[in-house]
Amino acid sequence: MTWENYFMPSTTGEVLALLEQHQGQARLVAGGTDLMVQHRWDPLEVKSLIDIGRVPALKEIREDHGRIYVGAAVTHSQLVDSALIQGKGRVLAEAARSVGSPQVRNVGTVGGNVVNAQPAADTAIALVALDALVHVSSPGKEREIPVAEIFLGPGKSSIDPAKDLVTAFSFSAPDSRERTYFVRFARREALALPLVNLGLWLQLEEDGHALKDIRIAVGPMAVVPYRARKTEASLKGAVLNEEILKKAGHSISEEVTPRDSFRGSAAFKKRLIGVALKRGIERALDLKGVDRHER
Amino acid sequence: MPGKRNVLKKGKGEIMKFSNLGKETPILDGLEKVTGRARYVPDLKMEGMLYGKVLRSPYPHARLVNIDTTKAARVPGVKDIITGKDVSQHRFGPMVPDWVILPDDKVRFHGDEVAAVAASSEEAAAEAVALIEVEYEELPAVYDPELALEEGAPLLYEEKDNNIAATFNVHSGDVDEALAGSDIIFEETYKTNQVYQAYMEPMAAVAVPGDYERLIMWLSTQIPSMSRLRYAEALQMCAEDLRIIKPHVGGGFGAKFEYKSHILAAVLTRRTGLPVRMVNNREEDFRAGNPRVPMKIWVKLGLSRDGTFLAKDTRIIAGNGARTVYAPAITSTACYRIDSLYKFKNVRSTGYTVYTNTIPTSCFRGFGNAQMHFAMESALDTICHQYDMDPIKLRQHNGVTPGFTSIHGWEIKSCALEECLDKAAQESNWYEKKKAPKQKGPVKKGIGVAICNHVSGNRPFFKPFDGSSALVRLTPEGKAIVFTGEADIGQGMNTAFALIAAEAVGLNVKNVRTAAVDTDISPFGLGSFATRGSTIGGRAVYEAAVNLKKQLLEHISRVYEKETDQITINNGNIYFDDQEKPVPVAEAMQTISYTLGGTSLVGQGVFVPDTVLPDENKYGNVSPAYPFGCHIAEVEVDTETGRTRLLNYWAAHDVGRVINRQTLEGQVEGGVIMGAGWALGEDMVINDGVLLNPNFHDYCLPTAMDIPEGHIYSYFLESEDPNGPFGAKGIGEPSLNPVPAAIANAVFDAVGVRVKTLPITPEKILEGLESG
Repeated sequence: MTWENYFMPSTTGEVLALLEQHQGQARLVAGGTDLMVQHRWDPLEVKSLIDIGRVPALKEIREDHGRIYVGAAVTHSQLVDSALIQGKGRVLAEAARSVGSPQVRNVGTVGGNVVNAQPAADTAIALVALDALVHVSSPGKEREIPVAEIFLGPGKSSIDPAKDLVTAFSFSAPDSRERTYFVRFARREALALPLVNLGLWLQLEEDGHALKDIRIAVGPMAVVPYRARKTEASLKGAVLNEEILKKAGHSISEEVTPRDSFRGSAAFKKRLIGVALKRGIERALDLKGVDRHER
Repeated sequence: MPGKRNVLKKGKGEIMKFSNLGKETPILDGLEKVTGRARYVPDLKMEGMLYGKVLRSPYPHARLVNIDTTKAARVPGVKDIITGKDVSQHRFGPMVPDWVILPDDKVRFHGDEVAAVAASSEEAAAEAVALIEVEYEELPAVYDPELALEEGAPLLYEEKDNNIAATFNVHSGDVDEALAGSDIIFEETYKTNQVYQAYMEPMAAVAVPGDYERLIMWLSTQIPSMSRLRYAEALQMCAEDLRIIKPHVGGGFGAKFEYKSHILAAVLTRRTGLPVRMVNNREEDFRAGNPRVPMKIWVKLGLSRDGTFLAKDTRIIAGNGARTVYAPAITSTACYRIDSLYKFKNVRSTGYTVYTNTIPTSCFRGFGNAQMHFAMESALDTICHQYDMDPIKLRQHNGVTPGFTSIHGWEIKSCALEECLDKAAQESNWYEKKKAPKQKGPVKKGIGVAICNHVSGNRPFFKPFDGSSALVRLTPEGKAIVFTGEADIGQGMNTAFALIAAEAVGLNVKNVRTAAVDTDISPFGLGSFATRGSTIGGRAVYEAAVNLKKQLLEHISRVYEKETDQITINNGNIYFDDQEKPVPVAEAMQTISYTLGGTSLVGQGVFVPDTVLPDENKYGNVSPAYPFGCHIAEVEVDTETGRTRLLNYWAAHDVGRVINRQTLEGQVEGGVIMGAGWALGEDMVINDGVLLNPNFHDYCLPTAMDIPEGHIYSYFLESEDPNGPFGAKGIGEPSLNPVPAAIANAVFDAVGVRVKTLPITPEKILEGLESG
């Protein structure tokens, strides 16, 4: 299984030109940590690969007019180490830290993680919680799409890697009343698919007590990463206490629709998501000391 | 003080000083391993070498109606394809003759060998395998050993009346009477699951045509000499015409015994006249390796009110998989080895090893004793809880002691079990922690203990004999080479042998090495199993070294004109009583050698342990030395998620004598981690005969992140066994045996949930918490 060409362009313009030139016969590759494994079972039917990992513009993390921009080829390790993301996108930094192992994080990119569209993709869950936009360039056009809208099914997104280049993700920089958090439960501490991923963004009222707004992104609780909107609605305006958190835990357990697999039963995942929400909110708001083991 | 460990009391206050033993010696081949220079079987490249690949059955049980290789044979580069029609159908096997080279009638598990291809590239071989057209007729299948025992279950071997591959029975004393007279009767059922050894190097062989019509096989194996006998039988050739070479081996943990693909490589080489390489990919290794024997263990114990063990009654149903590797011997070990850990007076045990349409099972560190330890040591913990006894003291009350002969005639010559319990209890603060109140909040801590025994060699494993022989050659340059047939598979045995030889002769270990096993050169050695290497293999090396030293002293006496009792050899130097300045061994050896036609000195050593094959009542001492240990685990359990985390682990082992402290610690830490992986999550998930997690992503071995770094503490007690070299006993398997029970007991202490089926998953803990 070999390819005719492996391109290493250095600008987004060159990437788009190559996509246009090869008319669907070339596809993008970034870190390749998912792609190369999938290729063994389900060979990629293209003649050429275009490696976007050497395009400097795609590897930037920056803040601009109140928005944080993360280039598509930014690696998970870059996210983990970025002071900007740690400070203003904690949920994303924590999600990136959860991915695979140091080797995978050093190579795998946020763009790949999202476009690959796995139902529990860590950074995808975080970006959904952040209500991020995906910036897409295709030959001759540019689009911005809410990240939650690109997922079509397990492993399927509306981004076509033979036509579309994701250039960046962006989300608004949080103000002092916003908090984020990421909770993950898996069979082991590294190199494991999550049983439950939960990305949280919340905003407090000015009094600092009631919840003004909340976004809860979860996976693998359906075929795609998604928001637990019913539970979100039930928490809006609530003044948090143990009772409310317990109810919210029950609510989200009822709301999600995970499936049974040998990795874990649906009932077990439903139970864990409730714990994840409760702990996520507690920790986002520092209601209790953070357990050193939990992320 | 590490230095202090090298000084030992011997006899009446006499101090033995070692210049090589008891230190932290990095393995002698460590540098080449960590720099990637060490060559393993999969690294071998030979002129004209072909790549072998096996076609494996996609069905758990199916009749082979027709196999068409026409399309496969047309793939460019394909040199040979074999099916059951092309090979002899004679049966053979390590324990039961239920193997054939390739079947011509039916396949019995998902992954069973159907055909094999040899081609000039891996790609061509894979393409050809995919193009072999097989017409299968699916047959009803059975996967659960208990269901396979039922009347009317599908038969794996139609010529047999049932699916029982082997039955083991033992009864000593009178169990029924003893139970009738017991104050406490405890009965419970435990299950241990199927797990994978997960050695780094997959199963591998390279077969090469040799001169004189011989066949050379480079194998990743634990048993070079024994596999030579078995493969000669399979290939219907004289064992002498088969030369086995064992280079570096990347782990085995029991799996690397006789293996089908090795034989297929040999057949393809004999047919093509070209070298053939056969290396499993990881998925194949999962699907058709030799995983642990799963067991359902029913235990009944009778005790007196003061905690004295009166009776033990057990029944075991064990999964053999679709053909017999070593599961029957493993089941019998589960049935009765633990009886020599305690001072039992009445024991009865029955074990059935049952065929199922699943992966053939075999040896895995612990060899059945580990499975039984989970049941027995869990049971004792429950008894202690129910009757308010201390788990440490109950074990000290019933545990074997030096000089004891067990109910099966096992002679416990050395034993520091009681001291192991004290040491682990003391280092872990056992008594304080047991008294401490439980934590508030959702996460609870708990502490649990389990002890173990094992063997250092197992007489019934290879019927003709147990024992070992070795050669130590001292070259004209004063360097020593140890020749043994015992197989270092990564444990550091070659370094241990070098240390033993160095110590016994008086050399520095830097000038000693152990040769790779090559059956043309090395003595016959049974191999790496039954924790026998250091004790039996090491003792043969010791004897060879002593023999060499005797010769060396005589030659020194001749050359330097001194009486032998005036000569001391230590750390590579020769000291004369009447002379200040020592003579280096290298200098003396050159003189000795050059005055004798350039000869090397060769010491030969033999060790035949005073063991016997057990009689019809299974009575008889099977091992020259018995190692013991005590493990204490501390865990925390999250009552909301069910997740268990290991916090601290204390392992105290009676090893007889520390040969190499570094590898000993490595073995203990490795055993604990392997046992923790098994206890807390590893599981081969088989659904309708198909393994669902044949990769390291879905088969969750613990990662470095799951193990508390720096919190596995090992302690070594030196009971100086009279049979072991310098008193040494084995460590490989005892380091794992008690782990699942110690962790299960700690989980119980933490949250009051008794998990009786491995692994201890969050689901089982949550379920236990809910049912109260």
